[in-house]
Amino acid sequence: MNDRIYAMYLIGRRDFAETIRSIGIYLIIALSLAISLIILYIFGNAVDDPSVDRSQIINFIFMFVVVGISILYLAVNSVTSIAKEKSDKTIEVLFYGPVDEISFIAGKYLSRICLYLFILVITNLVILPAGLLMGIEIPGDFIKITILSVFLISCIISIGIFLSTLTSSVSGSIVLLIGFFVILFVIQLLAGILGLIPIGMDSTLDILRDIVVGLLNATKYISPLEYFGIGGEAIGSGDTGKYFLSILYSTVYSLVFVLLSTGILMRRGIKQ
Amino acid sequence: MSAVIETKNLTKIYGEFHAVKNLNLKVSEGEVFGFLGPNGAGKTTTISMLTGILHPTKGSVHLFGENLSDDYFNLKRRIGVVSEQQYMYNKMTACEYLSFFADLYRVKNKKRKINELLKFVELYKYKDKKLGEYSKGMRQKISISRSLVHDPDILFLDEPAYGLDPAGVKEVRDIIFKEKDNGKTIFMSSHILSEVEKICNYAGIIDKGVLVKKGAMDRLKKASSPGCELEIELVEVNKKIIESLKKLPFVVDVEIGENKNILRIKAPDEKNRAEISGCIFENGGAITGMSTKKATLEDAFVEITRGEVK
Repeated sequence: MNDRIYAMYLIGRRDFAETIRSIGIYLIIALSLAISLIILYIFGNAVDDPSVDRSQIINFIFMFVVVGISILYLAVNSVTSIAKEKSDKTIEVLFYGPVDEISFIAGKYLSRICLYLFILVITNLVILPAGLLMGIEIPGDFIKITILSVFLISCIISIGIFLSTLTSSVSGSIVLLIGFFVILFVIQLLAGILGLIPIGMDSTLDILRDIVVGLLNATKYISPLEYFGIGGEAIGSGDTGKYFLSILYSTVYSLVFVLLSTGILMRRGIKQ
Repeated sequence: MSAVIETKNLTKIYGEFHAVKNLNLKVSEGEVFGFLGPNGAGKTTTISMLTGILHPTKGSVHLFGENLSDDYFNLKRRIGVVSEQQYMYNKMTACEYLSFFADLYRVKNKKRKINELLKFVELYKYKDKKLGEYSKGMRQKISISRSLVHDPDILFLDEPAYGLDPAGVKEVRDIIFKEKDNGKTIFMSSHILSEVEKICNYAGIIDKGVLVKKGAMDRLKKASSPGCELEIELVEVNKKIIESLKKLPFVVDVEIGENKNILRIKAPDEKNRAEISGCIFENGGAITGMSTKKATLEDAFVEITRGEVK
């Protein structure tokens, strides 16, 4: 096997093994399952109108519970991954061996993708049969949404790893992550508020609105949720081309941030 | 012998600060090279560049005649590194930790090799204990085991006995001696000069990022000071004796000790003892005792760097 791929595989395997041996991931899975089953139970008993497509509850639970909780968990897990190795200086020992920046970053990225697949398999193995037992069928577009979610998570992981390369402390990396999402939220909020004010009422506010709208458009490129939204819309409208385009966007997005992370690590060096 | 480690104008600059300046160094196969210098001289920076964890600002590192950046993965598999601090994955057991690195280096028969190493460093009975529970000395032994798991051709040791108690220092020294006997090339930095003197046969001294002296250990010791210092205790020291001794062609310097009855005479070697004694007798002196202090690495180091030595 190629040296780089082999190093990437081992780093990924080590990270994956360490995480699945810790309690955190099982708490996340348990939390996802508990919320999902409660919703499923309440909904299953409350809706018995045959005109309502009950299977959509599965998509709802999957997107807002399983994917939502996984996003939070894997965002924190990714953003602390490299910062922790840097603060513990274990990264130095790793790089004494046949490991380079590309294999290191790629290993970190892939291990987290595998963690998501692990969460996905366990949660689906419980939620889908539970739904069937309650007479709720698996929706036809469930596979499409599941695949799309992997690409959304990929974007989250890559931005997390990118932020992690910018700092050498675990707390600093979490602050960066929170800051990143707060900025995205504030821009959206401001755009919403300024959108309520009529155009031409105040020239200063008009300039401010133009700036905020410009920023909002720019954030569409860096917000991982944006690409998931495009894919979700495509599934809803049955637009296969748009669906694959959203997967392509997510892939490019992930690739860009993984490459940026590698570049930053190369530039800043392993030794702090 | 061919150079297995070679640096060409190796330089590392942080902003305005030159940590290492145009370092040109060659270490031949089988040599045990001591890399010395005061605190902040650039030892760790140099070792970091030699081991590929720090990119040089200028210059290059060649291992086994190949540029490290050109044949990165293959060359990395031929070196082992022990750093002064034992950074490790604390949640892993010693066995898991060594197994991970054995995989990374693609070691065949890794289980046998790991067991051999753990027995070698006398930690076999703790092999299933988490590394976070190990003492500093035990962790250093695990670091050494990690650096040897793939049987490297070159061992880089950066302050391998840092923070260890005397027993730990001796144990680490014994391990290095065994590796030296196995014919490994060892590049070692240490503050404990007596250890370096015992272990290394070649040395280089770096100060303020510049390699100020290098060579065989014996020559290095004599480079800045004469070979030995005779300490002679007399019944009484007089001016005539001192003047006569100073006139002897091989005598480099004569000093009166803190105790006024003692003379310290610097000479190239011990062979001149008889002539020195004769000179003292001829000038009416009576010797009550004589001892020889050979030139040490510490003397040379202090003289060359005029710096701090632990």
